[in-house]
Amino acid sequence: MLHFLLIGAALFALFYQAADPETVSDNRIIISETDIDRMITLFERKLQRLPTEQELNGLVEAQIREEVLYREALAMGLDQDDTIVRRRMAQKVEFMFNDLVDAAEPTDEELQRFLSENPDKFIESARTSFIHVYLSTDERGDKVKNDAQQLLVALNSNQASTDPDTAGDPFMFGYAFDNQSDHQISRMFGSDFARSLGTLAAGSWQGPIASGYGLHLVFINDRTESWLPPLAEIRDSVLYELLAERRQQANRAFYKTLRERYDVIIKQPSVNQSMAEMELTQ
Amino acid sequence: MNGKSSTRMGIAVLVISLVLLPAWAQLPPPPTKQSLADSYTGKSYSPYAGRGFPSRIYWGDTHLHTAMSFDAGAFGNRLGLDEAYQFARGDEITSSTGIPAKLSRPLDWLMVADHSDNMGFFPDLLAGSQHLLADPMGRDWYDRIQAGEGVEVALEIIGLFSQGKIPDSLMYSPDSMPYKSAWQETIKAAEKYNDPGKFTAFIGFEWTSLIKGDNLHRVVMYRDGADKASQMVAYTTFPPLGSPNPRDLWKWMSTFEEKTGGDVLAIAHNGNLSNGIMFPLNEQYDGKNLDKTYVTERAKWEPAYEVTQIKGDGETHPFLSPEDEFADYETWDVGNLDVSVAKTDDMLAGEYAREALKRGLVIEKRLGTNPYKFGMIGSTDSHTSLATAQEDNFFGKHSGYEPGPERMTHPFFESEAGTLYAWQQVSSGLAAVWATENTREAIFDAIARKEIYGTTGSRMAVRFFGGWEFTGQDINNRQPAFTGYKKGVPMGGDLSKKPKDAASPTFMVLALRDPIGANLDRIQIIKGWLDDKGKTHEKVYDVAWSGERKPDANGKLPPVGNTVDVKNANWTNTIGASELGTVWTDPEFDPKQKAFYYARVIEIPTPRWSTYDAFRYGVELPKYAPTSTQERAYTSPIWYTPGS
Repeated sequence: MLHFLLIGAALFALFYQAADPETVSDNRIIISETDIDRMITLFERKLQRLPTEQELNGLVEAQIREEVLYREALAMGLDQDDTIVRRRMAQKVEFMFNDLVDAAEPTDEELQRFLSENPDKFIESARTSFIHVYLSTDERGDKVKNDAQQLLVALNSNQASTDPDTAGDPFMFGYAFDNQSDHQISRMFGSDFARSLGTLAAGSWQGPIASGYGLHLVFINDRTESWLPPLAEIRDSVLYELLAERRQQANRAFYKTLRERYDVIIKQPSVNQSMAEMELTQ
Repeated sequence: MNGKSSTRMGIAVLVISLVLLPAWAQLPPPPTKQSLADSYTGKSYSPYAGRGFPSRIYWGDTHLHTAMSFDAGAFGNRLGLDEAYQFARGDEITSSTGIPAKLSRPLDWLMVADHSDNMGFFPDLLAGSQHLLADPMGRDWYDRIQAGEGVEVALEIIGLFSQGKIPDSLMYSPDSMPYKSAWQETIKAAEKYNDPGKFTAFIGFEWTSLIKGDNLHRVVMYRDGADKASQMVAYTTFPPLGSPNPRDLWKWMSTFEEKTGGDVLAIAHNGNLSNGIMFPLNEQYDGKNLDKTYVTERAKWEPAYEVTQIKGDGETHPFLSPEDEFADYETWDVGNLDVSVAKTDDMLAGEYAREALKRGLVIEKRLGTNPYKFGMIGSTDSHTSLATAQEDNFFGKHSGYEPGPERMTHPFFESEAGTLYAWQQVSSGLAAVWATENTREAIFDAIARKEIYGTTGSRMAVRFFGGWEFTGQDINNRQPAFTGYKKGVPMGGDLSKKPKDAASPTFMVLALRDPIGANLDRIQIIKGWLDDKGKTHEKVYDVAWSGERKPDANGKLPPVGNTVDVKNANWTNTIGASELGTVWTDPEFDPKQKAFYYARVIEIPTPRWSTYDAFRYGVELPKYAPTSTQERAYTSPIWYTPGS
């Protein structure tokens, strides 16, 4: 990990120096006033105070050291044939491009169209409020189905002797669930249970349906169907998702433009063939 | 579900009381309908109003890296913050190596903890800062991008950069960062994906301290949002702006809280790669002795420890716990983080959680504060932007190890001191938090009070309570949590003052298996204590288990069995139990001795990720890799202090 940090530090220095023509010349290393201002600003952002004279000298010396080592590394050609350096540089180009595309602000029409074309991304889940009685397969073994069916009849007959609060087996997560989304229900009981729950009628004891733990009798008190909010309510989310998609498309377009500058020769006939058939998606 | 009948709670208590508690003469009567009705305290009145205790578990990862971490990017990660959060909340995304990936179930919360020693991005030319638009070149770029010419502008800028022709005024203005701050990006993404009640995104970073290759890493978690977190840039490890010394990290955290009014905590990991310096007993790594400041600061800032993750399980080591047949689990003991220095036995005591908990008692006696009084969590430390910890869905430590037929064949790390093999990567871990709601504040507070536990990737539900008056009846209660909080403290807590007539502390532990996962083998309670001579001890007790097994002549419970079909990477839940629970009393309690107790819940064997790979790709199993694994959960301890 340590050597990555050093290389990273070298790349960092490259970045600062490459853009400032003053410092790139023979064996002169120039620390400009802007450099020093920048060091002070960075320091202050991190430690919430200005550096002392000694600390500032340390920062300056650190930068000089970096520049010295960087130039020596360049002179020795250490930037060539280094996988990490190559990857990092390729990545920087990508990062840079990402930032630029952020600026174009979509219109409301564009947002509405995106929302209509991608409802899955924005749909709000159905919600269910229910109470349940749990019958543990571990405890009851083969009798569990029978027990459940008998209990179902008893609960629906509304006899005083069958109280949902004390029927069935103890369940660690409790017995009443309010306004739970399909996701939340799946997480607790398993997705089969969530799916089965969606098929049950509300207002009476239903089931038994199976969870990862056993069988359940369920009384659904309330249910709201899934719904797609209007743009006004979720504008921020839609904006973000649209920008994310545009960023991806722009990346692809950008890379395509760059690639087209190059004459690519693949010296393996089968690979060459299959790539020619493949549509370049990157 | 087809199960053999598992242990009825009552029978479990009966067996335990016969075998371990000869002093307990009174056996609890089997529950009657009446006693059930009586013990359900919530029957007549609304059980949910005014309930202050947490009733839900929220699953998360505190330690995920995206392409913003320079090493992740270097290894080929091309996924950023967006993909990381989208994946964690349950979306399907494409991995850096082109594989469609999706979690079996979403996480409830996530902290992206990229390395703070991060070199950052290219300039954010379009932050809209005034000085940029005031410059004619800047204005021109801005306008053209707005007009849809982003590609052309980008090419032009690249060209200018490489010639060194970007004007100074656009690069070095002191009031706008020359480089888009990776920190600002982190904060922005966390704010975007944070959806209180549905999905929590924490702001955070990893402080990646290395002492000559010895690991002292911590992740730092913010309770706060952007307004506080943006005020100070994340702390790094390179002097003079940063430092690799934890004492300096704590100072920085203190400064942050003072200046901003915010709230942060730190969670260390990979003691197993620290070559002994993670949990010092007497001397810190720099030779300074442990002092009152060190122990109070450490205790204050580090309420939790990441005990299990991809780079090895850190609960305990077989050398330290020779009596514990589950101690040698995904052990990484070759050397330090970059394997520059090999491991020696004398290092181990400073590396593992159980030993650290014991050392904490010794240090508490000496200096007045226990610096290692931590709760336990798991997290991944994945560098692929994908928080994967389930054996059948493991995307590796970094993008060089995303799924593929070759991924188990190369060494993971090789040096003169030793080799770590690719198969040794662990498909682990997750952090489980008992919180009152899914928000930053509630989850952060739960971590701070240690009502948390870690798992090696499964999602078993575990409750652990300690008190002086739990009885076998409490297990049959329909709402055991009510009783738990009423009569005792939850995991992470301190036992109340011992009542005069109480002989021993009692513990109520319940575990429910992962709803889509494997049955449970057993629950254990692990005790550590400090004797009168200043020596520490540990003991592992089996307290609840599936089936009709009985401990053998040496007190060891036989293994649960193994239904794993290695060839087909499959298993069946025909052994084990879907739920286990019991009330246990410490049979060897000495009220004059400091102690801690934590629960370890172990599943039946399931296929290891390497077994899934071998099956899916039709390749050979790696030579020394275990074919199956018994996933486990580690709860935070409950501490006992004499005379408290």
